[in-house]
Amino acid sequence: MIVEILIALFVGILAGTFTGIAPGIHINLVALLLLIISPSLLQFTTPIVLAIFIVSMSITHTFLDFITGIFLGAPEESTAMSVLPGHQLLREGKGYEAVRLTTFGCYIGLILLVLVIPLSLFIVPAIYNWMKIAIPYILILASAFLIIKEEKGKKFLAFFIFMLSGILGIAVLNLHVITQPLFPLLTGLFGTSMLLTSISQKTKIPKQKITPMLIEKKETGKTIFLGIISSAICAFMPGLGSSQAAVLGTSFYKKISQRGFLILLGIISILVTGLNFAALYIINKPRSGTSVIIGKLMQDITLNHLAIFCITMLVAGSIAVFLSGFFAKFFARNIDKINYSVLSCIILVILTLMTLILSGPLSIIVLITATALGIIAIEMGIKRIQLMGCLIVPVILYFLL
Amino acid sequence: MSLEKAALITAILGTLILIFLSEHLEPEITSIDHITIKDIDNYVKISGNITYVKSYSTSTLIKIEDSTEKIYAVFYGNMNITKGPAILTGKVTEYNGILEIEISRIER
Repeated sequence: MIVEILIALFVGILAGTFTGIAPGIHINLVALLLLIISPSLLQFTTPIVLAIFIVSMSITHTFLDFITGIFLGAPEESTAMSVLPGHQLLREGKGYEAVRLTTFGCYIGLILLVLVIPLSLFIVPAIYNWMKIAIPYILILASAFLIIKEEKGKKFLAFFIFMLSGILGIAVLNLHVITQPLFPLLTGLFGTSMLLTSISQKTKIPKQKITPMLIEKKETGKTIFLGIISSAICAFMPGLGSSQAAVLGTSFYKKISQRGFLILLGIISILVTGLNFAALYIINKPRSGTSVIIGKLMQDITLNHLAIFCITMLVAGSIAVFLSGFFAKFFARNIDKINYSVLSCIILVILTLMTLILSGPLSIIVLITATALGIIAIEMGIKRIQLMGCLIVPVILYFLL
Repeated sequence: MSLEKAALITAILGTLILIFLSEHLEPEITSIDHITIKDIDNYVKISGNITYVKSYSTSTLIKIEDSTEKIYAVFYGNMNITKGPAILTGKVTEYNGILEIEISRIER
């Protein structure tokens, strides 16, 4: 049994490394594939071994996924917000540092996770119903705060972009004929829009420096505090993911630096990924695609299983720290040797093909519309966090209506 | 025309088209035995006979059958659902290891 568990753990790390650094490949795809072939696999092994594979893959994926978000501008929901500050550091030759900051955040998130899970066992059931009522109002306040924080003269435009993103999000989520609707939506808003802007501006990525991360201890402390608060709110709420957690996190604190923001995203991503698995036991509800699949594989999740998941996350995450460093160095050393415009074009084609394969031909309209909206935000100098209206507005309506 | 203007027109026009499509496009009718775990989170439309209805304070649970299979479906909110033939649209979800449909629309 122990050999099987170790094999599942390491194969999970390998799979998570692949899904993390390959642009456009979502972890849910691999987990779904596993579920489809699970009847054959279960003849040789047990559900807990397959669950360990999924947990290990998810945690490794979360660590490594920031690399493609930062170096290639190909984000997913959890890393979408990292593209902007990450890309800015990349253009200063500090892409490696940007990845190290998110990795540092992920590792802190991992430690917090192990501390937070036992606490959640007691606190969450007690306040779950209260949080359900409060969440739309918290989101409205957080969004309003972010719009007010925009520069003078840009507040109305920010509001317009937030609302247009919201309307687009509602339309796309109600477009029942396309599958995985969030993929073209988020790829357009945060990925292809940035890639097209880079191509049109003939962006040249400077030679990258392998420098250690620079951040003050005080700022790190604040970031950790914000990470805990926003994750605590988001982790057990239906319909809220890590990007909404990031919106909440940043709105609590007026001046968070680019570097602090990257650490915060790392913390939140890991906490949300890990707590999604814990939610299977704590509130008996799957919270993400991968946890749905674990819930499906294992009919009954016990406290012992939760403890095994925690150990798996710690081991996989600790190994992922080194893997992330290795791949970040590889990307940093090679990114300036290739023509960035050509690379952007290739990624643009891959993302468009992935959209077609995953979501069907109609999703191209979603991709084009979302890309146009993303370009407006970039060209007009509006913070792209406003584009998260595409998820926040539907969630607010879901709770209020 | 500037890039901003072109992007703005595309974004507004595209959003309007998507609103129109979301109002008018629906999945094609599928038979219940074709619904599998691969469809989780996707929307399906089924035509069948509602054979069981149980109302709770915040939801209604029904069972719908066609010539191939039967499936449970749940509606969150208040709606007076009665037994008999119906066309049902909803999202495939999983509850306690069993596939069910989260109803978004019922036509009689």
